Amino acid sequence: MVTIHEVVRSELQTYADRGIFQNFSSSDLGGKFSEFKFHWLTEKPFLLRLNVAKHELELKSVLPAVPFRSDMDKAFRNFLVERCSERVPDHRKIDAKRFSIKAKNTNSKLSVSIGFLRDDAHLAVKASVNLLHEIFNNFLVEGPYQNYMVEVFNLPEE
Amino acid sequence: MNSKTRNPQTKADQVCEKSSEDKIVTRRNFIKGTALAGAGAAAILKNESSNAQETKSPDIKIPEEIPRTLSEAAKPANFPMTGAEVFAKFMKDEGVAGFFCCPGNYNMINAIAAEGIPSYGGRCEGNMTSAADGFSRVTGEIAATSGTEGPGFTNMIMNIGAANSSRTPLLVIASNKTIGEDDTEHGIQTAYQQAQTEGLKKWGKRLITPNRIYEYAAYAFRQLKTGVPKPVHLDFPGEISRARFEEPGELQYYYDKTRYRTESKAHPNPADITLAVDMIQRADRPMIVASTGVFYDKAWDALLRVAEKNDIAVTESAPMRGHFSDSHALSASTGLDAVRSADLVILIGQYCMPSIGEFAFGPDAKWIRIDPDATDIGRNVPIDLGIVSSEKAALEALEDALPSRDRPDWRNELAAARKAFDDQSQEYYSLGLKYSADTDSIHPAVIGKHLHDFLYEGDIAPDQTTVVSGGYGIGRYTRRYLRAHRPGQICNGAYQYGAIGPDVGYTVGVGAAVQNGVGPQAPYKGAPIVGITGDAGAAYSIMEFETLGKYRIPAIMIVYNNNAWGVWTSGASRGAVRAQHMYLFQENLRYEKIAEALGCNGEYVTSPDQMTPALERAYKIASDEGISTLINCQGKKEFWTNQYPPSMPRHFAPGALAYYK
Repeated sequence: MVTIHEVVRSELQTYADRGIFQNFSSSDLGGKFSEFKFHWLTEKPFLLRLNVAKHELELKSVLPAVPFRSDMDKAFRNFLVERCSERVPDHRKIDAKRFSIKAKNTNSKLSVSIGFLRDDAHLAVKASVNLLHEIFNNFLVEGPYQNYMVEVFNLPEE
Repeated sequence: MNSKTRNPQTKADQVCEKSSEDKIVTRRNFIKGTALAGAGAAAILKNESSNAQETKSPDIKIPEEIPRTLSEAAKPANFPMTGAEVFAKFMKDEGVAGFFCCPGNYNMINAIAAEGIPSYGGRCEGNMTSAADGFSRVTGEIAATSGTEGPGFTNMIMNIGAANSSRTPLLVIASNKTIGEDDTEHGIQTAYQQAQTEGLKKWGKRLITPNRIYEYAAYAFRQLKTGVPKPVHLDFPGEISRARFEEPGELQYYYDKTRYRTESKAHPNPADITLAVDMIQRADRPMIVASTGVFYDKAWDALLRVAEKNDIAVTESAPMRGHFSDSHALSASTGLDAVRSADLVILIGQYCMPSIGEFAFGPDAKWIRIDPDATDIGRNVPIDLGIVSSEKAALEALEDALPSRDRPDWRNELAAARKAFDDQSQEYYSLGLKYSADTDSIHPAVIGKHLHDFLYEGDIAPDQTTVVSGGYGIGRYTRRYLRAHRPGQICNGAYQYGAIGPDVGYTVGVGAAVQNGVGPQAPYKGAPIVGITGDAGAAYSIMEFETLGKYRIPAIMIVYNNNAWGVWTSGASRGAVRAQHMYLFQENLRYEKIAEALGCNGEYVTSPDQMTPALERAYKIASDEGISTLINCQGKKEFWTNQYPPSMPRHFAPGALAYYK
């Protein structure tokens, strides 16, 4: 039987093979956790953490320097809720019956976890990657985050 | 031409009445545009607000030599010819449609003017280079620019860089001392030119053998007229431009253009078209990015047919916009959210390639790239299919091969995305009104919305006005409100190179293109144009208001004045110490008075209610008299802070907001 780690790694590898991710790497942290790193969208690498036992993928510290309960923190949580709403086209909507989405803010670092059913690991990877895309090409673009992007992600001023 | 006739008496009318009393030639009597040449006497401008002391000063006037020499018949050269004349005749034969220069390179510029190529002399070589660049971007035709050796040429560098990034077919010619004095530093203005345009051109050559001038002209135009365009730079030592040729036999490779280059273009491999059709048919939400090559290959009609045949969405990303109308039901240029939904991206003529993530397409989208240059396909964005072809040939092949198909869900999503964008624009406008009232100024969203309503919702035909969309911060708002309904309607000023300084220069070139009705501007010949820039950008090229005035190019230039560089927040935060002064200007500067002092009109807008009346007055004086206006819109630098959300909106590409790629 293919392990969840292998399903997740394989699915992420396809993005690397297609040239979407750069510098993709994976590490099995003793069977309970796995970590996957890749460069995409920003100059800083993303970290996707798999909790094998809980069937959960976590976009670890995806948005740093966001104080807890700040306007941006609240807007981000609302954005995640919105991703599951009927207003989002079906092909981009996160299926709330299939996945549970949670945000947590630790030391001003926002992370997002996506819980999934055992057989949906490959879909959870797609949902996570697409959510990451929506965070950077939707949430951070549509909101007043130009200065945030410059300061935190070294986006060019211009 | 459809124009408004509001505002019974403008400042200019009042001025002209005064002038009439003085029995001098008024602006009203001065024939504008190409007919300017018919005026036989000096034209004089007076400023309404002139005080007693100023009324004793000589009036601003256009000397009689300008209209007189513009009205002279062309005098095409024939053997015996100088090298300059050989080259100028070559340019004319190749259809160079506009020439922009400052004096210098005298043999060349005189010969070019004599050939009858519409020629314009301005105040800075760099701005004239941008005028030529802007001219090409809205006509699709080759334009030329010239500067004198040394300082004139080096003034052009930034602007050549901008043209290079935009893939403009720009012919750069500059004089360059003499071969006989190479390396001596004899006299002044010595510079080794070709090395200075390294990386900023497609091809270049210092001409050193007089009888090869025709041969190298052919080299230049092969580069300009084939493949992916970019600037071509030729420098002319005196021995070349002054050389004299008694008969054709003295020139190397002297034969007709049908023999020194071909009009033939690459056509797609039928197998690739079959694969593309299969991918399009398997896609639910295909989207074409119609870029630079679609415009220069004049492929907009084929693009429309392909999109409509198979219900393929189209968005734009280019140094110019309008080759697919924003008002079309399949347009995604303002339907930004639909970009994120596309499952198949077809890049056509995307010469300036984004990197992964620079375009907002999702990670699961497949990519087809159609480009005339095989060596560039696969750069930055990994492809699922590459097709080497001219843009027009590929689109025509797709039109033939694609079945008809309706995609109602995709059309609905596009419509919803456009509506969401419009709703957001309305929301920004409402915020802008509030912020304007709170600060006794005008917010950029208000400028954009009022301009939108004036250009597209009033008496002016929506497809009429050609716009130079420039500036940095102001552009982040005005792009949202501008619309392109036909090819060449918007010149995307800061495209890729991010240069904001050339905006008035672009306005000169775009204005000249419309003034002469070149290419897709023909139906709008003589109509006023609009330019947009910021106070930082205006400073680099504002002297070209004198050029606009001198040639009676009717332009309305909106200058968003927020007393600071657009990036001023970098000097106010992130721990900056002793830095902020470098980012700020004196406040409330009156840029419109510079325009007045240069023979044009000025308006000062400090609140939303003044914006539309200022546009109306500016449009009327531009339509009636060919007089340009600078509208100085007084804003606040703090609008770029999070105190006024959305502050500085982030860049989004592709589509109406795009200028990176």
